[in-house]
Amino acid sequence: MELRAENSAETACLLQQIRNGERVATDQLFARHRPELRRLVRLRLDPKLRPRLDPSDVVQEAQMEALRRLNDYLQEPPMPFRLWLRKITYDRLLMVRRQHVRAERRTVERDVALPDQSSLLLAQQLLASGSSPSEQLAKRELSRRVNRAIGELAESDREILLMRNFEGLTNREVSQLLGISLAAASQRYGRALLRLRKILLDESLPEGQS
Amino acid sequence: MKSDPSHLSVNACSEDNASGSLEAIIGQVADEFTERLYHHEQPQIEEYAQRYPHLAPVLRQVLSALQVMGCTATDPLMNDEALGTAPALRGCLGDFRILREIGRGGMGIVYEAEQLSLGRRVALKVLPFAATLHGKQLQRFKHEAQAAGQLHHTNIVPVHAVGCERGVHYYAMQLIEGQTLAAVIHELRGQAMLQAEDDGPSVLSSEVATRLLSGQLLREKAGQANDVPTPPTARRVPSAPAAETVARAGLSTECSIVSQTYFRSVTQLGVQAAEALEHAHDEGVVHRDIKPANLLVDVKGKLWITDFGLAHCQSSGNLTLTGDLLGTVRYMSPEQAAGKRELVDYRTDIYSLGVTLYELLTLEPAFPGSEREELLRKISCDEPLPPRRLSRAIPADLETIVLKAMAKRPEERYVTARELAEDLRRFLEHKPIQARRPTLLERAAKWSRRHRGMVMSAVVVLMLSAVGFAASTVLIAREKANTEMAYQRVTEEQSRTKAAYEAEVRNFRQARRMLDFFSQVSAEELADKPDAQEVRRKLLEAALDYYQNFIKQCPDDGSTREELAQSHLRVANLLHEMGARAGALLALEEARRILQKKPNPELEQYSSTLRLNWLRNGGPLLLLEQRSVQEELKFSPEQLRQVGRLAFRRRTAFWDNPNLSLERWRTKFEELAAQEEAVLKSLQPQQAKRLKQIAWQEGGASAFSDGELQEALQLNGEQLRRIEAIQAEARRSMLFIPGPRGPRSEDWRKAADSWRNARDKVLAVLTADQNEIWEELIGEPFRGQIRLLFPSSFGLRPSPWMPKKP
Repeated sequence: MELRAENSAETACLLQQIRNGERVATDQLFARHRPELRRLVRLRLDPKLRPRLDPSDVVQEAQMEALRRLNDYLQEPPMPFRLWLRKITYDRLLMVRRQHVRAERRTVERDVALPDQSSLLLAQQLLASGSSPSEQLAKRELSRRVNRAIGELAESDREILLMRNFEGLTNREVSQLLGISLAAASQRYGRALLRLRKILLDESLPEGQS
Repeated sequence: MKSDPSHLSVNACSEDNASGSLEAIIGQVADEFTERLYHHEQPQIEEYAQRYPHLAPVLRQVLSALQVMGCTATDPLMNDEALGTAPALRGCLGDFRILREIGRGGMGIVYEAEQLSLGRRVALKVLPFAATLHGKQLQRFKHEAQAAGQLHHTNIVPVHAVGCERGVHYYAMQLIEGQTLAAVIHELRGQAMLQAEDDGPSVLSSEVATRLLSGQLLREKAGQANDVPTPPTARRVPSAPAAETVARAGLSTECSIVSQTYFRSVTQLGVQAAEALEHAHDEGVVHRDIKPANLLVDVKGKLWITDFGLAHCQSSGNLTLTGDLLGTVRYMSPEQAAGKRELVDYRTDIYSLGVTLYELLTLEPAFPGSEREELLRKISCDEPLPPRRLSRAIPADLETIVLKAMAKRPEERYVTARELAEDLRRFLEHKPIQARRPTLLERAAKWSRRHRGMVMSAVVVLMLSAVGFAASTVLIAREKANTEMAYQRVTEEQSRTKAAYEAEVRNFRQARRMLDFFSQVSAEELADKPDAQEVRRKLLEAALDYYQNFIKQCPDDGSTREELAQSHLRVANLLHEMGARAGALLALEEARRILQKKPNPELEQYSSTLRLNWLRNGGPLLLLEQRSVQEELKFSPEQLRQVGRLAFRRRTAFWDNPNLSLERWRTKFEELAAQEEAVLKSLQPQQAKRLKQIAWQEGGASAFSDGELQEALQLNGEQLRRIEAIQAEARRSMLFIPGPRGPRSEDWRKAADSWRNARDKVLAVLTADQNEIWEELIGEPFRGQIRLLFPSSFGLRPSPWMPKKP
């Protein structure tokens, strides 16, 4: 089994420098992980919240939090640094999202902010080999539907898809983050994919018949 | 609509609880599929459909969806920063009309384009990473690209333009009709395998590879070639019983080329690459990313290096590094792999060229592996398998050259790219090469370095016996105390008569030896610790100060000749450590003069001029090499280049021949002095002022030896005397803190503190008015970090230019 859920050499090196009291290394370490964290937030932030909430703000707050807890982490690292930082960011994101939703007093449509182009391709791939006359659907409509389909998945299904395919985490990393076995993580992945497929197929049936 | 029964059954089945096994299977297949996508393999959907025929329709849908999603996560161009800045380029970009895509890699996409104003074809490289740079970084990138653009060498791809259009950064280069060495290696590897299986005809599609193999690219005079060009042959090499070979058997293709002509062709390419590097280094430009993919060979057999000055910017960009860059990791030097960016200098290029040649000769990567972490570890820790273990046909001398170029420690490699080029040429001319195979002792030293923790105590013992001391920690402690006392006595002696002082010289000699030893151990130990570099530099400065003080007081009457010469050698070594070549050579020459009892008035005159020069400019000049200082002074690209050039010259001017004639020395000194002068003159008044301020701030207590400062503060005799005492005390504590047990970080912090405290003590000696003047003189506090740029060459090996003891 591949052991990817470890710190990379650079991260390990930077952590060592921080232990030795080199402050510059902290900046470097956080800067290294910023793009992927921003990506994590972007993927999960409701587009409607965007005007009020910048992904970078969430990441920055999360990194401040991580900085406060860095000493604890250094003394007893519970997991690789990258995963730890991701977890903090994710928790922070959930909190921020809850606050905003509560403030708005409305149900937030769970649109997922996938890049347009890719969700379009994804929809085409999923539907092309099925029976739906996907060619007839307007492209915009298609991409909206996939976004919604991913949004319609249960939180845990959606999460696993985002983690594996849009953030590039390995199965091992996912299992470590969720605290479940490797086999269970892989089974959930399979389930999420099957459910996504089902939602899209179900949806396309009525329109195919019309 | 047509309904597909297998779909329905799957759909129905996923509703009930028995579907767990289906989910598990889909999950497993999807896992494997996703993993392979990340490793840039191209998994075939049909392969899985055939493996699970009853799930084929579902798998076709799910896996093709994964194929799409997988790309968004790994494709660097889809990273959210880069998203939208790297569109498929069509039409025009400024003066350039894009014709077609030639290739893409970690650094961006290369297009063939037409430069409209000049009507010529160019290669246009679009740099997506530049979009992630900002402010200072972008500025830096532009400077580096411009500096690289000014390199003119027959083996460097000329850069026509660097620019930015609609947010897209690009780089226009001469279009080379040829192939990268990466492609050549790839093809030769395939060829070698084919040949191994059946002795079929050559099926190389590329002209370059064919010619390389058949020696058509060899550019030597007909009469000189000793071996008749043989037709390309490749054969399977039988597995050697050596453990490493067996371990690799599963991975390697175990194929090799046996044509001597081929090895000579490769050597020729190596010569060209090394010469191009020499030129770039001479101009102060380091490539930092030499690898087969950055070396092009055209159909005439000419080699071209491309992408100068880009790697540095890329590593400072925020890109999440993914698969594409694995190619770069494979050729990284150990200092790059360890992330010691401040230790990366031109010798990194020599290393990476060595690794590239290794792969060309053996058709095997020097460090195999597909995982980034694994590769980084191997580069830092493992010695590569000697090429001749992979193929006995490789000439032994060539192996020696390549292994020397890719030594783990920079100071064990060729000192300059030119030396590498010369050794390769010697090989071509069938002359004896300069590189030696490592002796048993050196190999033992390498081993012990890698297992430092374990053998540290043993090494201390070894070093002790090597210097001729009995070895026991207790003894060391006692000796240390004795030495300290001896030193104190000497310090007291300073105020007494000279006669009394001479009586102490015997003891002093003993003391000095111990000092040598301690400063050696500590300097060596600190060399590898990036966090201790600042302290180490201070330590070297303190040591330098100390020796110079000793020289000043030592009577040159024969009784202490040996001591004096030794001290000069120490000074030379220390100055060399700090990058001050000219000063080091002066000290060296002094030592020679003393030892040979041959005073040389002409040289002495030079010595004194140059020494004055050094005292006046040497310190600030060294500061100019520091990146933080360059940023603080807002260097122009031209200034950056000048300083880079000077730094390189200063360190290498005298390497090539330790026995230069006096005449040659003089010209080299003069050249260096003129360049130093030019650099200082190029400073804007504002920059010069700030430089002086930084020098004073960084100089600790020693700053107060500067005549200009003394005058500005109007120090009186009593104050000067007290300052000198503080300086002496600071030197002493700097030298005595490190123990032979290896430095602990608090020791070094203490040492740094004592150095800083010394300045505070000096400031306490000043009056309030003087303090105010001082504050005003030094200006804003300098916040950058000062690092020692050169790793230590102290210790077991003498520097190559140190003269043999007479």
